[in-house]
Amino acid sequence: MKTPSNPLNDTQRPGIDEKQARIILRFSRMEDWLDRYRYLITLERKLPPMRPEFKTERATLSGCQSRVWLHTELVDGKVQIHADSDSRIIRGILALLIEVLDGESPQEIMKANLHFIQTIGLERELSPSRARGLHLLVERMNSIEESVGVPPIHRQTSGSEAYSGYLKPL
Amino acid sequence: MKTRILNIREDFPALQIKIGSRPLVYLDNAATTQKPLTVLNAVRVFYCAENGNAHRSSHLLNERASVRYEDARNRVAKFVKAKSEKEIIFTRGATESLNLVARSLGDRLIGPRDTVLVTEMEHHSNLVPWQELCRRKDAKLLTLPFDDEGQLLINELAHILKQRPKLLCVAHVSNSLGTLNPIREMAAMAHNAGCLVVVDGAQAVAHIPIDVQELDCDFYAFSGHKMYSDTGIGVLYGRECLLESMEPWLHGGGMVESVELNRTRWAPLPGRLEGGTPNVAGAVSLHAAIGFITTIGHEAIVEHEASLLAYAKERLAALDRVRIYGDRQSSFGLVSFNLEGAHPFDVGAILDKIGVAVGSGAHCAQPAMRRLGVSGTVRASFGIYNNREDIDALVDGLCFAREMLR
Repeated sequence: MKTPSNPLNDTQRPGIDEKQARIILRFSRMEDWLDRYRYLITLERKLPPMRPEFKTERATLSGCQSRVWLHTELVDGKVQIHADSDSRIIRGILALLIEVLDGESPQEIMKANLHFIQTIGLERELSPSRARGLHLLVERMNSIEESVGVPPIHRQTSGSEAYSGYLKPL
Repeated sequence: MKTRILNIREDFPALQIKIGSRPLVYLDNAATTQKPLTVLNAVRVFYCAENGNAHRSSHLLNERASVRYEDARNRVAKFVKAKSEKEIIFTRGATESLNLVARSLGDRLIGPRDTVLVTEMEHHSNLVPWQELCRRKDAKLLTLPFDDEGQLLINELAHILKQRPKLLCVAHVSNSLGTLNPIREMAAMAHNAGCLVVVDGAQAVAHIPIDVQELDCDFYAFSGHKMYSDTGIGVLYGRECLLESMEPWLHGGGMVESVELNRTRWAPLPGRLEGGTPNVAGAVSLHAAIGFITTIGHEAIVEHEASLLAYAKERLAALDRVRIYGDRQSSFGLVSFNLEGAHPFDVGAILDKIGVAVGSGAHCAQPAMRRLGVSGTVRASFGIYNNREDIDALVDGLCFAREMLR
């Protein structure tokens, strides 16, 4: 795990790593799957429904058992994420993803090592087929340059390498 | 409950798995069944003392393997009441059996402007091969719809048969609704219209006695793993005269009589349609699984499972916010339902956490789900080892999930 970004280099806003660290801490205090699911459902309730015009074919993540939509747009150089699913547990995970990535620049997102879902063991809370969908979702986030039209930047770790853990048999 | 069924769980090692302090509740038998020790031991004995290649050079082990393989075929023939073992083709499963018919018979039978009839409740395995056949041959796929109770519209069938479809492809028992379809009646109507009948029996074989002659179907396909046997072994029953007319689609070892460099003569049935080294261990396990089923007896199985299903439906129907799909009376082996306002995956995930395994999703029957107006359902499907406590655990779990997802 990377160390949280140094606040002296940044503004007051927490960076992606710090936001991930906070989520990991929150989950580490939960005792069992029940607490986790309850928490995800609480988050899900706060996630606004996605605007219908964003639910395009392009925004649909294929390969998931439940339907998942992910739409990103660039506003003033920052990525805005709109996500939805017909599964409430998945909506909870999407809410976490939005918490970590929404409002960041495409460059920050591309640099980021999105490890929190794996670290908090959420992929274990999901069946393999669901975890596969989760993998696709993180991969989609990692290839965000595609969706916001920023030219690809060389990255040391590709999405599939960083999240190959999701494909392991659970 | 019959004593033979009472202690049967002990014969299934997978049912001893504990989730927390409680044994796993397995209610996903429509997906696959667990395997009894008799089946596991039969496969072990085969590999320890009989493993050879069937119908190849004649040394001791090959001989033993050949005998085992043909014993299995013989037993399957008797199990489904085929006229002879020549009518039994071993495949990898129901999917391969249905594809075999679509390729080897369909490609010869169907031409441009011909029609093939499927039902709206088919598993994708008994839908997509026919879709593809129609696409290859520029033919048209017709569909027979079902009503709100999950019953096929038999009145419509008479009407559709006027379009002279050459094949009617239908599930014996629907995998998503549990509907037991009136195959005999449908086959009589189809045959009067000159239409052949292909039955997907994957969801029927473990639960009800099968008599292909009485059903009067032309083909009957099923998988071993849904009837307590191994994965990777399945069966296609076909009328001998129809199997005779089929072109092999897997070319290779075992399916030939003589081969010259530019010409080959096919072996007689059934080998002709079984190219490559056969799955002897799979056949051995299927033999043992049929033994297991016949020892308990179909009568006891039907009675036990029907009483379980009735109990499950009664308990589910008493729950608020639970919607049951399909016919409440004449369905078989499974119950499909949803918790209002909850995605079936979320319900399935929560049930899984408390050790209750159910199916959730579209069950490889997306058109049927579309007809029901849902993206999927939760499906509890029963096997011989399930009991009322399993259903109670399911209902408790559902109440818990309902609270969580409120």
